[in-house]
Amino acid sequence: MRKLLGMLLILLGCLMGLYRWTQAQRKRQAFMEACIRLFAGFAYAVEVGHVRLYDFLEGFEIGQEQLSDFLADLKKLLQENQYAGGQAAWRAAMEKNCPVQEIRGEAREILMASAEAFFGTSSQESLRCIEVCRRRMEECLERERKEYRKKRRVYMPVGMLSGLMLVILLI
Amino acid sequence: MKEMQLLQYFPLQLREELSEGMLCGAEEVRVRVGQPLEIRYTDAASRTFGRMDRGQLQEMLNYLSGYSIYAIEEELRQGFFTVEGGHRIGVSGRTSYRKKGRWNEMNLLSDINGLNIRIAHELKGCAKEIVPRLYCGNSIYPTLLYAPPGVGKTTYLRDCIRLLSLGDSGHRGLKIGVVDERSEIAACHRGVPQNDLGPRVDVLDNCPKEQGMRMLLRSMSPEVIAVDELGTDGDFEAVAESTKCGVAVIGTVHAGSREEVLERLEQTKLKKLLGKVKLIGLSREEDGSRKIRISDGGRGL
Repeated sequence: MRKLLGMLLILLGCLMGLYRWTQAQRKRQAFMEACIRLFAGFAYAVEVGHVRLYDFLEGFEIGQEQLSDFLADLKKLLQENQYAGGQAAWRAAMEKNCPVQEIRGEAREILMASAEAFFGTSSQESLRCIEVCRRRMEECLERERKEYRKKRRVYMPVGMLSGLMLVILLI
Repeated sequence: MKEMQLLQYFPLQLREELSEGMLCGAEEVRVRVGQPLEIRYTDAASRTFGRMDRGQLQEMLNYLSGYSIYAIEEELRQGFFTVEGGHRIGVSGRTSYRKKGRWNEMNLLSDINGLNIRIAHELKGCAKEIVPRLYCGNSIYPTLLYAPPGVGKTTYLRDCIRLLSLGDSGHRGLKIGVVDERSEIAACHRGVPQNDLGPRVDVLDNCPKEQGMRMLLRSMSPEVIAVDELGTDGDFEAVAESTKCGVAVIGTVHAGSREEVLERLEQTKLKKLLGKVKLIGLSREEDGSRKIRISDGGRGL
């Protein structure tokens, strides 16, 4: 009985682990997609209207919760005029809303580096920087997706097998 | 008061030193790298604080531009930009040029080493003695306010617009179109005038004067058009066109004397209208007050 219970718990644990891993991957990919939309939107705003960052953030809506919180916090910090430079406010907002555990590796590095584009001194410089950031983020997203598909091919059968064993044991 | 809004633009270190009261009655704030910050008042007095370094000036620029220096690069090419509240920030630094046709055009202003913050003042009622003299039937005479820089032409123009759009017991309020090329008259923030221009005013913000006057004539049926700092031949041509269409223009001109204005007008398409033009001269007295001189264009020089 105890062995059965133990096995059940292990199987449940595996399934929960798999589920969490899938959710985390999807969240990371959604965040990266949202960043790409942010970069594209900002590049358009600078090119067409030389729009100030406040005004851009005011009119820009994004569905991804984490990025949306980050941008809202950034806007608040910028309006308070408490940071000598925009990059410092960007870093503070990132530390609060994009913890290292959730957004890490190259995606985090690209988002940090994109602060130079958002706080550039000339529109041409900003456009070029944001273009580089957008391309890097797209490549990073593509690599993440490939990695996810590869691992899913291994984990999916393991998950299905665990699920089947769980059902058999329960019956 | 509008001066208090400016405190948020100063470096964090200086905000503690500067109290809100210190900006009361201030006309200008001068910021130069390596020099003390200087506040100049309307009564010609001044005060200095600390010593500004490059980092602090950059910090101020970030606050003034909303951390978006790229967004004001076009205005920086002209040497100034306007912030919320209508305050005008003059900028000095290193310029670079690029070739455009036969001429060199300013490409970039970088290594900014100085800022001149001209504090906007709305002086309601300052044009009370001018406006009654401008009426001509249902409209006004074409009017030019002239003075050297820093005397208050824009402040008087703003009040003239307000009083004309309000009207009085003897005259109905007029429909006024304003071409606010440098966002100084109305000081629009997101399209909303920050200054009180009265109830019958349409503002074209950040629009070149020549184009703006023609746009207003075509679409807003103004009775009067107001513009600031007429200077180029194109500006005066547009004024002449408006006057021919029956729309009076009230504007400002940089000039030290009536003769200087007339000399300038003699060379433009307004030469034929000199007899109808009202000239309002403004000058600053020693005690800081303003003297007004009203005259006609007459026979010219």
